[in-house]
Amino acid sequence: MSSRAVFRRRRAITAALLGATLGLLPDARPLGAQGTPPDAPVPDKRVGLKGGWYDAEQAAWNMRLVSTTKPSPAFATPTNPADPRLTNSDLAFQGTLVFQGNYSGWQVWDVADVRKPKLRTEFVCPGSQSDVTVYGTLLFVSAEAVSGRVDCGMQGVEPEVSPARARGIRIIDISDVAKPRAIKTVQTCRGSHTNTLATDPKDPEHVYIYVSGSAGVRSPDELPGCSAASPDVDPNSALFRIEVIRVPLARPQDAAIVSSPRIFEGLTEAQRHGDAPEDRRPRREGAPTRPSVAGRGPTQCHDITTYPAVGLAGGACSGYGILLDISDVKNPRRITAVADTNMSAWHSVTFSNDGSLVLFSDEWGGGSSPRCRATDRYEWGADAIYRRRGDALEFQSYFKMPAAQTRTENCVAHNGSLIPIPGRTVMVQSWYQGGINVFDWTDPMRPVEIAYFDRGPMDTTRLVSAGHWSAYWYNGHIYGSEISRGLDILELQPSAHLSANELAAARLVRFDRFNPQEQPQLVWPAAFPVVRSFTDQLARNTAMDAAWLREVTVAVDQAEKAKGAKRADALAALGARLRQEGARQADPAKVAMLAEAVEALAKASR
Amino acid sequence: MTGHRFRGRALGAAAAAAGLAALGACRTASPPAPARPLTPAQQVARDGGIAPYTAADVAFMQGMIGHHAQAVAMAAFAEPNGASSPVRVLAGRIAVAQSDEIDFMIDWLTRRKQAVPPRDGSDHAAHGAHAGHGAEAPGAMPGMLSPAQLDTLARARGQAFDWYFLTYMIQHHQGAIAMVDELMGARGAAHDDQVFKFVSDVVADQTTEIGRMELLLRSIPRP
Repeated sequence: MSSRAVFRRRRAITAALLGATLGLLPDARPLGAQGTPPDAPVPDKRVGLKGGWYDAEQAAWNMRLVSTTKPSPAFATPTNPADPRLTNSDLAFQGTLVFQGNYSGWQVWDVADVRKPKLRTEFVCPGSQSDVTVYGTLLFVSAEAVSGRVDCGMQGVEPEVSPARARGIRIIDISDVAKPRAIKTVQTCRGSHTNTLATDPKDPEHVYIYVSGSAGVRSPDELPGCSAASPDVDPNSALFRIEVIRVPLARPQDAAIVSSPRIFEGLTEAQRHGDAPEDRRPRREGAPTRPSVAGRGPTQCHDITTYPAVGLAGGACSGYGILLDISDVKNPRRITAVADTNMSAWHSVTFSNDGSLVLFSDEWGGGSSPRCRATDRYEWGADAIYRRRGDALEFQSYFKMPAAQTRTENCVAHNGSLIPIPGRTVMVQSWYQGGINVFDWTDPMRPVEIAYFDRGPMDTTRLVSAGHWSAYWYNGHIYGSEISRGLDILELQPSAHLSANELAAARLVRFDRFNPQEQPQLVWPAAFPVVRSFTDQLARNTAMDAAWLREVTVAVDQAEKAKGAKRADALAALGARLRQEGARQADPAKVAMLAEAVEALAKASR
Repeated sequence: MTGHRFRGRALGAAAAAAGLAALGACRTASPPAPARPLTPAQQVARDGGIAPYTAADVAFMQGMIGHHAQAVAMAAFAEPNGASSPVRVLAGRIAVAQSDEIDFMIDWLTRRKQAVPPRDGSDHAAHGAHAGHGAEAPGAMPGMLSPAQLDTLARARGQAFDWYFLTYMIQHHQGAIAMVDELMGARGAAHDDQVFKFVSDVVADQTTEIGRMELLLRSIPRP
């Protein structure tokens, strides 16, 4: 049996999995059954690629690499591939600028020409992970490591306690992007692993930053008030909470922590216990103390995705996926929380555009381990998709990049974003050295891969950190932050799974700014590609009345040829017909979406 | 001054040239930033891809290999000893995760030309040593199971196995977290991004698992 056949298995049914024999892979299913459509290339083009740095073999299906831009000079060395200090991290977008974090600073690319991104700025400032968020003239950068300095120096911070150490959010003035200026570091007890922008429509003078910190708590001698004690002992414990920073846009230098919501409070109330004597181990001087976590729920979140349009945020918090009400942006309130035996480290969150589905990813092993080998389970280190039902989240299915990778490729679910295909929930996601893939989870029970890009291992002899940290759709292209190779820009190609019309419709949705962890609502303009996206989607449904659908598409073509009022009239007539006959068709819901798009276009044509 | 002997000659030169902090050295304040500091890429090229590290980092990695090895050995009992489904899933994940992390630690030590202990932990007291029953032997790493505890685990079956496995693995995980805390309290430790990320992940993963195990344990009576 090919490794691929072993790897691709039945959609996980929890009971069966729980009973599965450790180390064996039960429920093997024929090729193409697990997360891939029947027409996917066999054998999978991603299996067996030759390794290398910039010369690694590539495989692509339904997408194309447009350009690869090596890291800027400060972060690129020809002699040492994959040095962890030069790790490229997350991305943020504004206008034609792409902000790319690096463990030793960040860089800014102008991608007006996607074939040739131009370096605008490289900013040296070690401290990892340098998760970036952009808002107008301000850039927010996460600092987590113990070696990061307030003055961005390279020399590290040797003493255990030092005012020179920067752990928290660095705020940078980028009003002249060529001459960025550090404004302030808002210091936090645990530093910032990731950060998320949150805005309040009622409060346009401020923006808010949700800080997720997962590293150790620093000494109160370094930052007063920091406590790693159990909240039972010290109510000000820096554990079991997130930090909210309020940034006055007119005076960003006054940015400060405004609240530290304990969003996990009561999550495991029954399990709370006092700080037991055995929890207190003698510590060396300067060593932080850590309480027992026994059954308290998570001590932190890894990342939070806000979705202001629906007033929700999703938290990926240690062993839990959490849904938050952020209508009071300073005081996010937990609505519900889920745990899952197959999910290890809940990592990030993506909502479907209508907010009805929530996808959590599991970065099992922190992204440093090879979790896509033929022997690794499909539902471990994968995505878990949930449906919102009232205030509850109901599990639907798992999805994982289905091609077996080698043991020298770090691979697990990582960052991605929605692609604005009307009427469908389609997402691009990065899987480190598992590459980038695009999958459709419109049917949350049956997510299916529809495009991919992958390279062979960075090193075939040992595991070094490389691959895609993140992959996001922004204004028509897919941007991939490659940990050790720089910035990849890719484009989707029309296929049986994604028509030219659907891609054209996706390109109509444009943003002035995109911070992927602040999810924007996708709104399509009235346009023929949007209308035709729906007719193309109906055409994929074999149960449709083909003759009827042909009449509809001819009517759309004729309307487009007409001008002005005639076009509007033709569209209005078509809209009326669709409303009248839609209920009798195989997919009335989709016909209703088509009718709505036709009516909107009729209105816009007047 | 123990940190010095772990830094190669090339790094020493780079540190001098760049005005790097001599990590682990007996200084009380960081030196001023140099007039023309190296870029991160230049520094990587100068030190050959080996970031400054300390004796504490090395000792941590060397110890943690044996510590992880015991967790992998404990997980291997789950299947033959008739663990319940949730415990088998948990044990399966622990085995994979900690085996991969052993690979990482071996690679980290090898690249720095440091002594690499056997990956099965056979240099530790797990086998053969007649330590006290249930008590940590002097010098033992925190959370390590005593031979008596290992013996109990090896003999337990079914629900009793679940109880011992969860109880001992919580103890074992808490020990690993204590080892990280100890490391982070050492001067100059975990300044290597790889070490910092690794220990942060160990704590995040094992903390999560402790929570999960506490939950499972609540529904199992003590044998």
